[in-house]
Amino acid sequence: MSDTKAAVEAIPPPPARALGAFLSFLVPGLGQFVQGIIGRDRNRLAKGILFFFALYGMFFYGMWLGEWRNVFLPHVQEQLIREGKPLSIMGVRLNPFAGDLYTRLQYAGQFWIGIAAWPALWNYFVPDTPIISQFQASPGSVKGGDDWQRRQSNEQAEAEQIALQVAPHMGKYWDIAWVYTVIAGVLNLLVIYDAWAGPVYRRPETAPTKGASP
Amino acid sequence: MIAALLAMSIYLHLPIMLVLVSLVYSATRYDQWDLIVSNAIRGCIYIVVFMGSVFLVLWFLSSVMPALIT
Repeated sequence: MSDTKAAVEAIPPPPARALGAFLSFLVPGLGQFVQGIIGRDRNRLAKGILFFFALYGMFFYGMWLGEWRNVFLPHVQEQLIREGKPLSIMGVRLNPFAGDLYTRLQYAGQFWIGIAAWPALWNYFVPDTPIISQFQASPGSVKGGDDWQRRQSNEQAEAEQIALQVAPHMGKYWDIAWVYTVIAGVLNLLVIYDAWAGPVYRRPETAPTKGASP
Repeated sequence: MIAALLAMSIYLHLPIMLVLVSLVYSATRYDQWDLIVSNAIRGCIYIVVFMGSVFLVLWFLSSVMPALIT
């Protein structure tokens, strides 16, 4: 067995790994921050701060750049089913949620940023109680699921999105904006895994002796 | 000068993202900060070289090749 492998295997898992992973899912870096406090590990604590500012910085900058209208999950598949032309993949008709996610695949990446993307889910699943409907509003989410209102809502949202995308001040910024939010969300998957399993590599506490056989 | 900078501003998003992605990725690989920073710098260089190569290939195909053919 090589020294490197022995060193890697000797890495103890981070303290409170399940709690840490859950907290990092809620807020990027919160798990590492708490683990740093529990384990009195300054490196881990600092990593938590880095993750928080880097990922939230990217996510909210992306949202700001997209004028706060690029994180949402629309109700489109329900309308398409009603009109007899549902979305399908390789002949298999998608259920309403899968179809809605398929029309807005960016949200599958944005979701992993945690709490910051939850208002979109709230607006999607609880349209009858729109307490935060203006933030990450869900097009097609209407009280009682009224078909006519849903269609109106979807058409209005689509018109607004197109107007925003072709606005002279927007240009390619629209795409840069959602790319920022998606990358922030996907990177948080790595952060969650780091909170669960610890870093992949760690320098051995005592450096191997020079000339030692591998 | 300012107009040129504003026109370039769309490309300023690339290095920012490059640094942040490299730093976060590297921080999930290591715990010690010297290793995090050195690995992040290496990651940045890899990405710049890769993207630069892709750019050169595309530039060659779109700008140099047509001139050579005609």
